[in-house]
Amino acid sequence: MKAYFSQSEKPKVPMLDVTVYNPPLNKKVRLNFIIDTGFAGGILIPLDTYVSLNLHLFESTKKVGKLATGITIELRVSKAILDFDGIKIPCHAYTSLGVSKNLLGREVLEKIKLTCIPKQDKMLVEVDP
Amino acid sequence: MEVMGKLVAIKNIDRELYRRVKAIASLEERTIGSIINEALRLWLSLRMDKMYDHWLRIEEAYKENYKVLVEKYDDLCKKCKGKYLVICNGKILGIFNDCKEATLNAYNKCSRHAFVMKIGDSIKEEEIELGFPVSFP
Repeated sequence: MKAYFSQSEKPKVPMLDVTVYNPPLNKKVRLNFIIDTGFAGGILIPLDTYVSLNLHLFESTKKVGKLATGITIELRVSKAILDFDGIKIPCHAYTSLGVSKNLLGREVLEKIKLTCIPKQDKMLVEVDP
Repeated sequence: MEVMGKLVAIKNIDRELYRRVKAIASLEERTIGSIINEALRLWLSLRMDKMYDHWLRIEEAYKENYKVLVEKYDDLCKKCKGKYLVICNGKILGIFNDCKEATLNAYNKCSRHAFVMKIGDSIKEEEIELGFPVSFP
């Protein structure tokens, strides 16, 4: 697990590097997530990542994702588990056609302690067992 | 749909939707044609995703499983609330006491799509707030 500011975009982007498991814990992938307080869900990932973790085998009914502009898109929803250096946090994983970035939303953020000090390029993350 | 030179006639357009688009197009000083082109480009761009075939295959199995879920869910909520339901291949695979057992069964016995749900959870298509940036190709 690593929290950092990515300088690849301006202004810099708060990122979290986390391992994602499928619910039976037999498939995993390490991903860099943009921390997105505008996203109410757990994680949003591209469909190819979703399928590579077999998350289509652990789905709930679909949800309707609403963008800040009011545009809506259909979202698949599954269960997933995030690994923060050995501490596992279950969350919902979302995907749709055309999603190309990994987002980490408020469903996960409310379960961890995160301190962002952009001016000092400093990010601290703590997860209680 | 009829094509006549640069003119394309399309049947069954929702009149109310068309009226609203026309009103907004006028405010934005745009032609209806430019808006239809933009909508068609967006529609196509979503289907240009290299995973579109996967999406269709999952979707086909999802619909089959969803039909079973809707048919049986009220009854299951009365009898087995709090347990975990697995549906795949258009039938109930089993009802399990814990989530791990349910997900293992789904992983080992399902391939195209499966529902793993806690009985009693909502099955309505609810809205969820998406922030930016969600980017499309």
